[in-house]
Amino acid sequence: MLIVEDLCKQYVHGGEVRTLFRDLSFTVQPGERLAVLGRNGQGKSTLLKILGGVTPATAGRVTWGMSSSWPLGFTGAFQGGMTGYDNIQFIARIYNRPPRWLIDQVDRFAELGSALAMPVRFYSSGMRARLAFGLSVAIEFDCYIIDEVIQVGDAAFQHKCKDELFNQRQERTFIIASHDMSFLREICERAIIVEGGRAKFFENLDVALDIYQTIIEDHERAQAAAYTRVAGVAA
Amino acid sequence: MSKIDEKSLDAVQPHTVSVEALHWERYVFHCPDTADGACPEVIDITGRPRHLFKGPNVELAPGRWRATVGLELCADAARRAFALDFGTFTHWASADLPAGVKGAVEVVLEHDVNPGDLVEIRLWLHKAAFHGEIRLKGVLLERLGNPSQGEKA
Repeated sequence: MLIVEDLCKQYVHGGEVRTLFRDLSFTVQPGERLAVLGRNGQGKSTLLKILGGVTPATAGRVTWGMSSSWPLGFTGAFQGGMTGYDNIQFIARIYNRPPRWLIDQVDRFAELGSALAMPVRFYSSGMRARLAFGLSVAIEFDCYIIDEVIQVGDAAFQHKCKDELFNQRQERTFIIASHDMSFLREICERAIIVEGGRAKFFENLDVALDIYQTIIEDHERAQAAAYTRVAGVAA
Repeated sequence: MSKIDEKSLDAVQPHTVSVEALHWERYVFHCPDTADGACPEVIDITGRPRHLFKGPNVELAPGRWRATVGLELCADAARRAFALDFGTFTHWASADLPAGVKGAVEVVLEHDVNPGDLVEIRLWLHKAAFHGEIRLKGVLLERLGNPSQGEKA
């Protein structure tokens, strides 16, 4: 079980304190699937990084009663100067897995081939995501935290990722940030929306998706109005 | 054992009280979002399009009535679209809340009440809302007259 209590994240930008969210509380039971919705820059990835232990919260508490992945899609933990092989061995030691076995598992899934012998700093973002994804699947977690990583690679690889996670590990817990509403509707039951300095938890995914749709429409309308004003000034 | 006095029984039958003005506090309204249905002091508008409060479904003296609905909107709520209805289930007067106005708002609606009409006020949220709060300060009802009896409006 995951228990989140009164979570708050703030940062200072240009001398001003900016709040991404505050007073966010929710629980996730084993086997549940939680969607995280929000426009770009609103704090979805930051929330996932806090849950994954990558970024500290400003206030509040996150209590895990099950093993959790790092946010899939987050590749910041790789050592750029080390090869893919070396990074896998490094993580094998941290998680107490046999290095040779882990390399085979990751290589089989991530399809990086000879690129595993290259330093990770030469990897594209997609290759990094494949490496991170392959590691997450091989190590096996009770809860997978996923940050848009399903969009990695070509259609065949995306299908493989979805099958590996949601079919072969369908009893696991998932926390998924995505803009793909039809995908979330297919996978998740509940949701959090992060927007405008607030985050709210919704028991009903469909309600959250309706609200998120309105947020997107409002934003598009505001952008169109701003464009019209600028165009009017230019004319 | 005493007999039931039919005249006394008549006295407790529901009937319409003819008053010229009355005030409905939030307590008489129903809110679908609360567990007990009571209308809270602060209504959280988060959620799908729906009515935020309605009621009280009571008979008023026939004639034309004016309802002055007092509301208070926070900045987030002021960005959303609302409509107020005054009338029955089948016929009513309706008005949109002024767009973009935060703070105190008064909306005036007039409606002809017929004998036996159960009258209510409804506040509708038109589109889904992520955040916002509204306070219902109360509704002032004034009877403007009964044209069928030759009263002036």
